[in-house]
Amino acid sequence: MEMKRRTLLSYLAALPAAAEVLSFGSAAFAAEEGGNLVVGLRTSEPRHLNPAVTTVGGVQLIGANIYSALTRFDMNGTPVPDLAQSWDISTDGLVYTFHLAPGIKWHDGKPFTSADVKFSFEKVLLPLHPVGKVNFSAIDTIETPDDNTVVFKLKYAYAPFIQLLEVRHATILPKHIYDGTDIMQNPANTAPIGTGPFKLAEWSKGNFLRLEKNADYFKKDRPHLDELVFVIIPDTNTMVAAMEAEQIDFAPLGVSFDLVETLKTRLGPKGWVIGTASYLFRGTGSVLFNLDDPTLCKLEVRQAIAHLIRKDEILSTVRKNVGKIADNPISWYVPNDQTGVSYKPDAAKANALLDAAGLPKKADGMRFALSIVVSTGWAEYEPIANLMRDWFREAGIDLQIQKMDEAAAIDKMFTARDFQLGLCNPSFGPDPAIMAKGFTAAMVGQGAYTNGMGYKNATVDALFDQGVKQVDPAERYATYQKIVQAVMTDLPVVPLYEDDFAYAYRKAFTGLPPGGTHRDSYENVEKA
Amino acid sequence: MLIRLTIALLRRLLSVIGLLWAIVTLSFILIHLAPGDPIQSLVGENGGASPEFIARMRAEYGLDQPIFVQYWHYLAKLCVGDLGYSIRFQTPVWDLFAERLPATLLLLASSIVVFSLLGTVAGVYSAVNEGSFGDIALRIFVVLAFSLPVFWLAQLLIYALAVKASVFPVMGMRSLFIRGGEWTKAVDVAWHLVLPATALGAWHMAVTQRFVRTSLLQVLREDYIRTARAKGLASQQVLYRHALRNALLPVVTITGISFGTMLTGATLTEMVFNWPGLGRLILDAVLGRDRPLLIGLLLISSVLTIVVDALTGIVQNMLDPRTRVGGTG
Repeated sequence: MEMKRRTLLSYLAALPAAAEVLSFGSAAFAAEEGGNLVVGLRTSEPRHLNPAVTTVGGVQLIGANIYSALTRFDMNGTPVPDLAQSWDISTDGLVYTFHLAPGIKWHDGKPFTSADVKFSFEKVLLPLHPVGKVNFSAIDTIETPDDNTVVFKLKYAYAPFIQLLEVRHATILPKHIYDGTDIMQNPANTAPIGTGPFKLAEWSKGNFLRLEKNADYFKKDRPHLDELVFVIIPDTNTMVAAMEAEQIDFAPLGVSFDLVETLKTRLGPKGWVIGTASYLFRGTGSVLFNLDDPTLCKLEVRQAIAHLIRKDEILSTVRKNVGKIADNPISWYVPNDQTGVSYKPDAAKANALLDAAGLPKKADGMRFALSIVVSTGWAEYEPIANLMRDWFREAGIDLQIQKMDEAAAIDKMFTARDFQLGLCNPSFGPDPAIMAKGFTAAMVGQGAYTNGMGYKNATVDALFDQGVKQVDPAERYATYQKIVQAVMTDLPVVPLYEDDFAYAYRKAFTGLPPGGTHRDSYENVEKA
Repeated sequence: MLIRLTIALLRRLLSVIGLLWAIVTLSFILIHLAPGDPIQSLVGENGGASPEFIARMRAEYGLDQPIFVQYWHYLAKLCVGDLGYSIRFQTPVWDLFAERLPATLLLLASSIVVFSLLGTVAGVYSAVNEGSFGDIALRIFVVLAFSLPVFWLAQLLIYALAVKASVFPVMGMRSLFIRGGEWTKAVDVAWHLVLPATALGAWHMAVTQRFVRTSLLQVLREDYIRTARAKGLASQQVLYRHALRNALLPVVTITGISFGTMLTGATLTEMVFNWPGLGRLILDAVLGRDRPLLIGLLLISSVLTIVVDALTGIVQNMLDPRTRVGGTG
């Protein structure tokens, strides 16, 4: 017995919304066909434009306009048709059958078929995408009964599967271009042939990328724009100046949360809309503990530290109220009031816990010293660390701040694990199962945003194994609620806030995707 | 004479090779000691790459070898002119360099040429009109130009002339939607060049003005100038035919010396103006711990500086016989 798409979507809709619906742009404008959109990206220069072999945000954002995937996310984080116009899922959750939209062509005019999907998964996504093996290890076989049908048979039920088929994780590449070649060195990585709404027209290295409308796009009357230009602007000040001079129209990754109020004042009167919103793959600003440290391995010490941190003050003074307080690593899925454990600010309790841990105050009023790794790549980390230093002093902890660039901080916390405390912003989405990469024993020290804490709990590992295979939404939720309760009791991290993002766009445009780390094409964007 | 010249050249060549070797070795060690992992940067910003994937990438770039083996392989390749492969861009370093060098050279060359000329004219004006209001105003400008960091001046120029006055573009090397022939495009590039070249060249102009002014004032007090005036030569003739040639020698020297400083300044200027040259590439290399790219860029910058230094010496020799090997001192 098959469960139809409508049923699937209805149960997905039962999940808590992972993103606010953003009505970007105003309906007051009469939209017109054509025009150009200039997008400023605060990233490094991409080395290629193939999202099937990387997780770099800039490549995904540009690539989402050139390539397609079986599904896309709507603004609520629900998978909706893209290359696949519909799909069926067997009741046991082991067979996924996708029906591809007919008449789709690659940018070079060759027809798109189910063989391209099979090839992309088997030869590119599984072996070469950095998280492909993690995401798609449940796949047993991929069958292509005809040109417009793809059947995935799984080894075991894997609930996140449907959430991982969009362009960020499962870009579909042309088999006729890549088959039999060295995928990583194929010239098409820098001169892409996709099925998406736009084609690459010009790449002026270090300057900009110009995309032009794909006249043969398989969705009728899309895209509306004639040209789409991505300008790489790593410097925030230059980005703001370019906005003010109207050299760009949209900054999806370009606005730092601390600039929101300033930009509202400066750019609001000039026809810019500046705001903040949640997004689908938002991170959770967190304090990590190295559990191998002789001081921090004591639960009382970690609990004391949790009681010393005032999240509301961090949110209001440092984050300028951009975001929400988080009491667990997946608070977008398990709400704060369902976490089961909370650590309210309480200096007296913190002192009592430290006394109980056998760490009394010395004559100078201090107990011991700790260090915290802070990446200079994030505007909020140093001010947060400064606040923590003041709070910790109340309990006799001397906190020393170790500032370094992003690469060094990631290496120290997640690979070398040579740290005591660390600030970071891991993102566990679009499915709660992704949280396993940060909290299972198998992922200790496995690189960026894995289990840098050295947290090992066999019960939690077993619950993660269980949760990933559950199909019933209520059962899954109960499993992840147990995981969250266990993790927050063991306290390898102190989650601080949900990292909402700031956006800026010119009122002259409608239909913009929300940005942040939400990757979607600009096929619906219209110029007013 | 010829033997002495050959020995001098060989000595120079050996010192250059030694210097380049020291740069490569020191860079190699420092980058190796710096925390951070190029492969972690390469696999993306969200992490979670499988250990097998990371191990395969590490092996592909030889990063699984001991540091001495990596160093030896790098030196061996360097000896045949191979700067290696950029880890971040997965492209030969030479290719990236060839892609970005023209923009940096355009910025540097236009800045040096235009602001050397302006500095010279300003220096001559100050010397001839010593103590005048114009001279005092120029001297105040020189103090300001010396003191302002290049990135701060760049921001100031952007705010005043691009954002507020909308006279020049904020960033980039060309307009995004420009249509027209080569001449139109060249004018467009020149228009984009004004602010970054000014930010980069202001310091050089100040230095040149100062040197020319001091040098010319000194020359104008020489005996042969007094003799020329006594012969009844017009002031203009004395200035242009006798004084200026000798007074301009320091301009050549200071331009050569400034090159290295301006190359560093170009990196900051390119960042602020989003200029598509080597500067942004260097930043990407540092943040991504891209050892081959960073060492390659440092090496190339060093070679450029050495070449400019040598050219400065040659021009000096042509202008001043006293500086030649075996020349009269």
